Amino acid sequence: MHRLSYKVFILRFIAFLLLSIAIISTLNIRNSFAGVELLNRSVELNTPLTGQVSTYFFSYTYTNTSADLGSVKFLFCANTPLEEDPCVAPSGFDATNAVLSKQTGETGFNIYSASANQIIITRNPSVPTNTNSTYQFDQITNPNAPGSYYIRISTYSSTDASGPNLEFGGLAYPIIPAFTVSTYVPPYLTFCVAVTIGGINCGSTNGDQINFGNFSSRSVSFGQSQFVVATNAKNGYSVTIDGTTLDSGNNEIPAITTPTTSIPGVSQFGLNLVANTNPKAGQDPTGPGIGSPSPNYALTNEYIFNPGDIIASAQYASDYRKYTASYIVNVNSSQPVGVYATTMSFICLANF
Amino acid sequence: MPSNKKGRIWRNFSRLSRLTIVFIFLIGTFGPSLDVSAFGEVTSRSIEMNSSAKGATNVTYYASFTTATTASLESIVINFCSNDPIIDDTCSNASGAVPTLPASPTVTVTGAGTGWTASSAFPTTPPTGCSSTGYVNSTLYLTNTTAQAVNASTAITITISGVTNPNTTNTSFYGRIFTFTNNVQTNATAADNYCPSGNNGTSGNLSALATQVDGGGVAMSTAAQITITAKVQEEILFCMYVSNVAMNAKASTATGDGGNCSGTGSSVTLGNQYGVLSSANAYTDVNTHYDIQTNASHGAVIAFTGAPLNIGNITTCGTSTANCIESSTASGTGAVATSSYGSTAGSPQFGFCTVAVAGTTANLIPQAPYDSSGNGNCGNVTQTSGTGTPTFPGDGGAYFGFNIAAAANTSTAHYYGSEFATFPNPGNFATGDIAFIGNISNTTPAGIYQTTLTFIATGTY
Repeated sequence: MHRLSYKVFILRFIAFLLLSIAIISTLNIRNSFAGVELLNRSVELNTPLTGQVSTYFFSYTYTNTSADLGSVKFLFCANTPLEEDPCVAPSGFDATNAVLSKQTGETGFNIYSASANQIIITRNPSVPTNTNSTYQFDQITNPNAPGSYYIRISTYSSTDASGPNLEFGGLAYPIIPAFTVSTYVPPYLTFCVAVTIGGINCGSTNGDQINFGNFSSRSVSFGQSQFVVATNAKNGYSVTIDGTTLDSGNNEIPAITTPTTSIPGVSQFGLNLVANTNPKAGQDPTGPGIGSPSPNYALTNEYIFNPGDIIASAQYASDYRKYTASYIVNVNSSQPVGVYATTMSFICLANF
Repeated sequence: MPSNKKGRIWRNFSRLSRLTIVFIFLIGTFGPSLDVSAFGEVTSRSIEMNSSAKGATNVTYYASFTTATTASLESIVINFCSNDPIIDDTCSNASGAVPTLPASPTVTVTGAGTGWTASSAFPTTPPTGCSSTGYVNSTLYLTNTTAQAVNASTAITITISGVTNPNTTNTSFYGRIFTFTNNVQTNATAADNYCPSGNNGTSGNLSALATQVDGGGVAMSTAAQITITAKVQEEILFCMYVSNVAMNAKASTATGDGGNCSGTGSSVTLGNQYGVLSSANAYTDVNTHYDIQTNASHGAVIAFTGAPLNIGNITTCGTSTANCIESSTASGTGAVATSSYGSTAGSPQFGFCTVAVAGTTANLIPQAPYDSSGNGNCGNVTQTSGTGTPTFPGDGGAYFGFNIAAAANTSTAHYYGSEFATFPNPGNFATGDIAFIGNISNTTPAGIYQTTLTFIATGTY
């Protein structure tokens, strides 16, 4: 008996010394806001530029559909969206003049108060439904420095955002500097003159002399040249012709000073800028640009030459426009013998 | 002091030392050594709980032990006590201090045959002196109408479901495991039943039960539950910047930017080394980049607002090209707002395309009409603006876009502006490249053209 008591004592001593620790610590990681969080929440700015007055468009879904909803608080912070942490107002941010311009879903709100970094909206309390709601605030001044900023949204049964909140949700949004793209478009004029010009631009020009051959009193002599104009001058262009009529020393072939048809046997020199049948020469202006011959030079089968005349023009900037000048020469039977020549100058003026 | 007394004291001290030396601290459950003179000692014994929280309900206890004796068993008992695991000690089993079991718990037995019936009911005919007062169903009786032959060194497991833990935390409690050759719960002979209080008969000694085969004690403990709370706040990182890096090469050759919004620059100039556009060929600029990262669970949308290059005094860029580098016909924008277009030299065009840099293509998805939409590859656009002798055409066959109407929207949400990329995978990072293109016609008015584009990133949490 004495031996048994001693054994019992020893066993009990051992049992007390043993630390039968079966600690199974369960790590319970949880989100402290699970189940009380506004869902599908976002904030959209129509201009996220530093210091600009912007519109803030909030969208979220209420999840607490059992308690009256009387007010919502929007708190703007520079440091964190976490409810427990102190809120540092963003520098330069100002919601004092915020206007609740639109609302959808749970509506009936108006602004209860608007301070530098907080807006409270209020309504007659009622139980919300689980639908997406949107609230648009105009006239909010963005923070004055680029970076990430935060908003804390809390809902309340009270009408002044007092007391415990029903739901909470955080948001983050970026403020960035403006981005610019620039370029320079210079004043631009393309003008070329040649006997013939391929296409409608100045890429292919040929010849700078017209040989009328031997003049006859019985038939007209004719020839042509071309010029191309293109410009971005907003007031368009004008083309002036300059020079003298055909002459040979003191002898000249008179210029046609008013639009006149070709009369073989009558000494004449003139031109126009349209298609003709008498003689069959020239063509109307071509190309995508605008512009047209001056009236006196736009008459079919009638020719004229007055040095200094504006023979073609456009009122606005014009893409490529090709003109064909048709020249006619007639001589009478008493025209003195000689080699008659002249130099025509075409001058284009772009009006910027 | 008499020498025999000294010797006895020394012997006791030696035994105590030896016993203490074999003492092992374990993390788990274990039981003390026993005097095996009356019955065998089950070995490798433990009882594991799937929850150590105080008062937890519907807890599963997994008991396992190895028999010491070959026998035909009709009862297996696990008695839960709050005082100690010593099997022939009185068992303290006050309410809340020990686990409680359902009256007929769900039990699974392996290694001990079949046909076991589980019950936590007080013995129908308890031994004399065995009181049911205060009993809280803290003893598991497994009984079998047919004795199950179990050899020595047999591993037996018993899984008990629906247990309620003791209601104090960080507190040890014990389980006493017994095997018997007869039914010790409903035996007609009172003295042959096992008393949950450990007091079997007036002798108070478990050894009064001659049918006991093996036994052993186990220790367990409730424990405080540790709660860890982590806060993850909403975040978004978004920036635009200029960096002299080719399209789709930024990830490896970034200069002046670490790919994490550390870049600078907020303007680009289209044109030759003097910033002059030409009607003979397009000029492209590929130095604009943007970074984005957010943990918004529904990702983010990237849009921009603004007008094409203009020299001001415009009312609707797209319907009037007088002061605007844009042409509905040549660009496919304006009236055909959503289509992209290839470069046409000599026609007024301003637009851009975007591409995610290699390694981030899964996280940044360009949107039409800024994604080249199957026409060429925006990533092939080369830099022809600026200094040097550019190699034309530079557009790489890519298509560009500028949705004038959408980009002009700053009053109707949502979303403001024209969307040009989406960020669908929260938590990741992406970098995008933007290639601008400028073409003019012969009639594009002379002047300094400029536009301010406002880029907007919106995350949905």
